[in-house]
Amino acid sequence: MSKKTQHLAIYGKGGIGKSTTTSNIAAALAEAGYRVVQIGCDPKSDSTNTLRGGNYLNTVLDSTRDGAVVRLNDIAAVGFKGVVCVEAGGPVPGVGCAGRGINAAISLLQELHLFEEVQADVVLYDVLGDVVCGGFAVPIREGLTDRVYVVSSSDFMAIYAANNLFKAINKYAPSGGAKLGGIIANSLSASYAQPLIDDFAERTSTRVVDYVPRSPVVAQSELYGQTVIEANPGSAQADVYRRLARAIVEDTDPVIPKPLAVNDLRQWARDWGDLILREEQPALAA
Amino acid sequence: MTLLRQRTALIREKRSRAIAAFCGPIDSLRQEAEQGSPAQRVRTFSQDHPSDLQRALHLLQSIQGLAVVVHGPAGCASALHGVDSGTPWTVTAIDQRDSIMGGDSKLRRAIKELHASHRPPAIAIVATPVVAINNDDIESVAAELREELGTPIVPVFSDGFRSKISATGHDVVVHALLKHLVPQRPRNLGTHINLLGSSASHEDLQGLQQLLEEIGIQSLVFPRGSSLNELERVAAARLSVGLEGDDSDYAGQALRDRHGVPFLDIAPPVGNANTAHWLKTVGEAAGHGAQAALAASCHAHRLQRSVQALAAFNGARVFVNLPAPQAFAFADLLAELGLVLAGLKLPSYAGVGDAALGQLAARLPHLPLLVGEGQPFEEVNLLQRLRPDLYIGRGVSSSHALRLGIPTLDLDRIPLHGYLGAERVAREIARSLSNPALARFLGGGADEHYKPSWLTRSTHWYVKQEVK
Repeated sequence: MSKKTQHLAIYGKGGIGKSTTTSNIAAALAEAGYRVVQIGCDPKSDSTNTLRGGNYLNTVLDSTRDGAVVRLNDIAAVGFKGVVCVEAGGPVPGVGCAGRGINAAISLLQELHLFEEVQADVVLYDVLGDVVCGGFAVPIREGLTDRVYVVSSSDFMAIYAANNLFKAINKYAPSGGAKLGGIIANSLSASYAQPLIDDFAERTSTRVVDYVPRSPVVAQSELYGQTVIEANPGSAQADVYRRLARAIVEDTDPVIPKPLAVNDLRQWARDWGDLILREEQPALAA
Repeated sequence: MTLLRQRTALIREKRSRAIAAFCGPIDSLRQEAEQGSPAQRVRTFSQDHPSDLQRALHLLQSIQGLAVVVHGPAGCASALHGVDSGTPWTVTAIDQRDSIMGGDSKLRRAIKELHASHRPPAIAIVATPVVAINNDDIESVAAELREELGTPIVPVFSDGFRSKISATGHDVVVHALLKHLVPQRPRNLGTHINLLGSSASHEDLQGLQQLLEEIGIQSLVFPRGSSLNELERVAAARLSVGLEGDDSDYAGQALRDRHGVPFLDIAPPVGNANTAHWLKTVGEAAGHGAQAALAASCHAHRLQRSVQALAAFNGARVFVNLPAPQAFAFADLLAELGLVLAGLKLPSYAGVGDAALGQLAARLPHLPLLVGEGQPFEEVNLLQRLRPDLYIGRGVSSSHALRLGIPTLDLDRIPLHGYLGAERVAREIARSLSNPALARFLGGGADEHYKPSWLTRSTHWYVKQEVK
């Protein structure tokens, strides 16, 4: 087990399965004996729900109300197999500035020496959606995280969000920002999904860490308010997450991605659209 | 109707295609203006200059009876510190948490506290950069408390960064005042006219009002120094007269479009001839043409003595730093006094179709012209090359000239407009040119703020035209 704490950020388009994937990675690592911290960087504050039975957790930003003195116990909960769960929190929709909230919450966690207190082996940051402003880029700037992973399906908008993240990494990596660990290909079911993501990875000089197939076990576990590792430990899907977690924590060779220019990305998507149509037409005709 | 239907005023760069940077002979700017609009240049090195927020606060604190809530971090209200205007004001002093979660509750509390402690007839909420970024909904808070407190509450949407031209702050204040505090035009109109001015001093504007009274015209000044009672009469005026070009245009157009108040946009009354023309034009428009012609003739005769007092300084070279309409008119005053305009600095320029620029450029095509607020390096650089006999401007800007040993005249201290202004300016110019020793002593002839290698660069070294 590594002595140095590994800080890993997981990004991806909204609804793509970041929190599900991150929580299952956290659970798998905890099961394997790692001390894990998971920090939800999303105003919805539901990143760690499946690790701790779905109970409400006081967020970091909630705790700062009225200048109160904040203690670690107020903002951290211990979930499945000892995973320390933290939610950054943020404003209600339509108010304030969520990006700035992430910035402030992470600064406060550093001031509270969370990672030293917990003696964490791995800290996972589950970051909301696209990198829409500087606040959402905080986990990849200034050397805060070691590696970044992006969760993506084969949908164009998910790929588009991944490409945007690559742009942010490309910008910050030369000055000490995090590099890319790779793409976590999620919810794959269509026949073309895997080659499409592989091709995108190749075009951007990145790699796919692992492929997570679409599975009803995931939905079923979430309905129980648990991770797959906890609810269905003997399932094939649980083994996929265990393999993914191992690959991530043992990854030592991150890269600086080469994002595609917008027009190149659109052309690439069009080419794939043509290809899929050609492949699907005979099947439809039959 | 369109201006006041908007949430707030457009920035000057969009509303009047104003530029904030130019450096070169005046005829180059004229040529650009004639071909459409002058190119928007950028500064690759820029020094401190006021923002629209400062300008908005400066104007708001002159409105009598209005209380001000600055919604932002405490420092955003610094422009109000040490200003003894009698305006009750407070700042919400939003902190990090408010910037993330929204500061509406602090804004509500600040308004209620200010209302409870001062019972002001109206309250303005001034937005600041942080609020502009996190989009606190001050409009809703204003609407809610307007009802609850029974007091007009006016949102002023300044932000400090959208515009490079501080005069945008003037427009957003005028927009807010006209939209929320000026009632509909009544059936029975008043007998007065509006003088639209915001930069001129109280004494200066009062002098113009007295001049109008001489010919039987009552006037009220909007927006600078207006009382809330006067704001209620603005829409009832027979006529609005612009004093300050682009600054006056916004109020003039909005009052004309929303209330049907005719708007007279003429060259400001700076200098003998311009004042005579202004007085006659306003007099005719208000039905007092004969009195105006008579008054102009009397004053012109009286002012001959001022010109004679300056005969000893015939040909003295003067650098002028004033807003564009005043500066162009001031060039005429200098010519009347037998003085030479050596260089010009304007805070911004919005002169599409501007006849005054064309006339001055025709007379002095090589006249060095700087456009920009602040930017002392450029000004010092130019002043060092031109070495004028006198520098005329407003406020602290003249300190740069003083450091170079150039005598200065601060127009914040004396009136500029009307016959009174022409007389006082002539007298003060004579006084300054007669006593250059103090400036030489203060300056020692060199500005040590900049290294010689910097000052050998061309004045326009940092003013660039973007290539797209």
